[in-house]
Amino acid sequence: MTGYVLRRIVQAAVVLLLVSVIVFVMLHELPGGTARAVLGERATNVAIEQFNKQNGFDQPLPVQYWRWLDQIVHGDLGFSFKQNESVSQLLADRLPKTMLLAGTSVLLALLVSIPLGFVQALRRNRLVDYFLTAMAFVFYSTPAFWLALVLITLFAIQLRLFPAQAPQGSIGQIVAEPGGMVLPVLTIALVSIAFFSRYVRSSTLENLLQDYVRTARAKGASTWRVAFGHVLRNALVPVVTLVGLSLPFVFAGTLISEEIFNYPGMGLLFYNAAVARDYPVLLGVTLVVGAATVVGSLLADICYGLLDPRVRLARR
Amino acid sequence: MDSAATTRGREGRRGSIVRGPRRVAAAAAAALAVLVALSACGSGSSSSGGGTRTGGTATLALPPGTTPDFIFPLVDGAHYSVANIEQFQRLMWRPLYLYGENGKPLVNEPASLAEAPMFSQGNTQVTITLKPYMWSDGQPVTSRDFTFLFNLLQANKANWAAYLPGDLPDNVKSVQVQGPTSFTLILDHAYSPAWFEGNQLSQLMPIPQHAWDKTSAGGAVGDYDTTAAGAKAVYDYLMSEAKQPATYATNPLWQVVDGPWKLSEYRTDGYAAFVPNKQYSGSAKPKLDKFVEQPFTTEQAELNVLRSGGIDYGYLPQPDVSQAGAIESQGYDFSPWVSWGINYMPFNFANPTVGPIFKQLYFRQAMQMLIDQNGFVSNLLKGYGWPTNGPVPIKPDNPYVSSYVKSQPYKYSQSGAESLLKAHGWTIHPDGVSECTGQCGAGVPTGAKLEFPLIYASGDTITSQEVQAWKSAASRVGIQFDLSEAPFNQVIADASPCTPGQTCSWQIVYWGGGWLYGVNPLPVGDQQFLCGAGANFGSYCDSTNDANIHGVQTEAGLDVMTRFEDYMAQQLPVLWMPYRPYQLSMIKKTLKGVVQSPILSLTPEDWSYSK
Repeated sequence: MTGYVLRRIVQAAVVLLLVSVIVFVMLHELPGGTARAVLGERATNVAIEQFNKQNGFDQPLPVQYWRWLDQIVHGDLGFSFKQNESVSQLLADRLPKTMLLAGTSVLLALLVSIPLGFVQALRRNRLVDYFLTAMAFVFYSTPAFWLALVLITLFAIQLRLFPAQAPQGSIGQIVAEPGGMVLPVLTIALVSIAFFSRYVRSSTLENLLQDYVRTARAKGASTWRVAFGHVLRNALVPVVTLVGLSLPFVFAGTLISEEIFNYPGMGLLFYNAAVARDYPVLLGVTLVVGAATVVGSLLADICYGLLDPRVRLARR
Repeated sequence: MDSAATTRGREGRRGSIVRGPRRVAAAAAAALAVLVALSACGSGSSSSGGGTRTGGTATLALPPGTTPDFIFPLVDGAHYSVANIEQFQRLMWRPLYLYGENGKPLVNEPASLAEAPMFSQGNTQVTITLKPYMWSDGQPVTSRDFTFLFNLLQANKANWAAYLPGDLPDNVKSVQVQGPTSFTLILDHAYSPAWFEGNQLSQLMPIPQHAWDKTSAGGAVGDYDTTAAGAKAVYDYLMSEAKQPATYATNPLWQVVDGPWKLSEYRTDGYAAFVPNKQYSGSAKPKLDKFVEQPFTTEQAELNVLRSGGIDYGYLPQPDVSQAGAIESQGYDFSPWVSWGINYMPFNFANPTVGPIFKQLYFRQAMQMLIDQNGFVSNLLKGYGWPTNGPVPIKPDNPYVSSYVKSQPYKYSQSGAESLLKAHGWTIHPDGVSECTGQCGAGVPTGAKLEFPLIYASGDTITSQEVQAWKSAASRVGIQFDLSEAPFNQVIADASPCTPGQTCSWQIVYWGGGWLYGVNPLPVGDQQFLCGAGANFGSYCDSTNDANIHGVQTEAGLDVMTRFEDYMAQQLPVLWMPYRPYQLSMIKKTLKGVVQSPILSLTPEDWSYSK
């Protein structure tokens, strides 16, 4: 197992390096100049030249990349032109917020969707299954931004139960106002519940048809023991992989919540940096999200191996 | 929608099988219920009745992407914005002359740091006397604070975003200190007093020499600024401190202010909270306990909070203006914020292919006559806008705009545009592409076609509607636009003035925001229309215009301004487009004293809540 993990870590590092090269080249191939985009419409030609010189944009692309890579190796992600802040500080400020939002949403979604999907499978083609399937399709097909606006109109403006915006400030201040997180979390969770519950349902159904279930029943195991002792654990194996791979989508989903609920997290940081051509921030966020995806995938594989001994055996 | 609720009341027929999952579901529901139960409470206070009271907090909603993020008043290019200068730094450090007086683009004398400037020696010298102000640490504001600023500017002018070669500090030969609060600037030649006060002196704000003249955090304060090397070192130190926004509210440097407000809290997302500077020497002392600038990620997020009553001074996105009545009924006043600016769309005169066409005045006139500015205002802007007819805005009321500019020289007329083109050798193909079949002007070849790519800024509905409407009108006389959208920053990056050796492919661009005469309130056009100016995107160059601009800068009186603006309005260096308010403000009825400055500066020291 240790060798397997080490191999995966080396692979992850190579993937990240490739991602950084691709993103770096693509960003610098965008039409128009960074200096004008950063300095604005009032910038003089002198100011533009000075900006390019100060930031090394007058150097060849490989030189710029090498310098950036050198900074990264030394723990320096660069400095945001537009936001007047080091990229590390920006990430330190925004990443916990997005992790809180995404993590809470995914956790809530899993807590709800696993039992829902499991119940649907156990009671397949019954009223409860039809009803929950219909609900899942409704939420899965609902655009997140529209769902957010409906939640705000209902709970913030009509009923005045929750604020229309997420708590502001540091992560501590946000945690101290959990009521403000209800609507942003619900927006992401409701869509994710629909997504995850469908997977749990189909995975459970698949396992219910397996020989080991019939064998267990034949040996006199109770329905309870079959369902929770055997089927549930096996049905969750693909869900673990799914959660790991869904991280980029969850990050994308947080952008909607961040925009509508005034919650400045990683999604908005990246979006605004892209619009402003804030290259250091773009590269920093890409690196972090790329690392999160690779690590998420790695963790999913490790969990997969832990849950299913056959995986470990097959890799030897 | 409430799927958690649907899971709670459902009973399974085979209880033993569903009990387990139901427990999990119940646990999830309970967790959600706890989250729900811990909802945040609303805040804010208001009362109605006559008179006002002291105290209270006013929260201002900032537009998306326009948050303050730079505190040092010698702003560099990347942070040269209204949000940083007019709506952040000016609250703490007052310029010699603050513009924006009762909704007009004129000097606000009571809020300015100095008495009116005294020009002498044929306008080659100007003497300035500071009002008796104190810094927040109890030290007086003196001439030395001005010379400190000026020395830093001279040594670091290339880094100062407002620097234009030939202007400040180049045009000041020396500074003669007359006394503790009086000094004289010796100028390199005569200048128009109105231009020098409005566009030069208004950018200068004394900074606390006794606290900032050092080269490191632990170093002693000295007179380092009196040498060029020392001034650079001081500037570098202050810039390094300014690049740590997380410390803005705690760094002792930034707590030494002469403006009405001190920064009490700052977050790197742009949130800023101010408390009154108890030493403030101006006549209007703050009455609020606290003034807050609240950043918003999107206009939609701001609108949601506004609708729920969570902001004191917010805005309606222009496309949502129909909601004004509903929000007014929740205790807000609707008040469009008229800013001091113009809107336009530049041609690229330097484009080797179509530049010769753009250089024909008749063609520019025809293009302008196809823009139905009044129709755009009434239909697209729902009446909340006004035409731009020249380089001087027609709103708000001001002494600079001429009757010719007000008269809108090129009114919407498709037939007029068609006649102009026909008269100059073009064969018109309505809804097709018109073609040059005669003498169309110098450099325009026979067979040239009227089709142009047009790049405009994405993300704004009105901008998109304007170019679509213009495309439709132009098509009827055989002018075709190939429209494409790009983010604002890309549009202005693409539209950079062409330099020798550069491929210069863009033809027409529209970023939608035009030009705000904020920090340079006298609308002289030297940055947009002078030959070779940095923001002269289309490389327009006309010696008569250059002479006119020079006249506005050097000669006293309004005649030169009229000459300049009338010529520009007639010559069409750009296509004039309708201008709209900075924002459609929604201000709580209980918040009194708000006057929206066309320069976009904020004076919350004038605000108070009704009793």
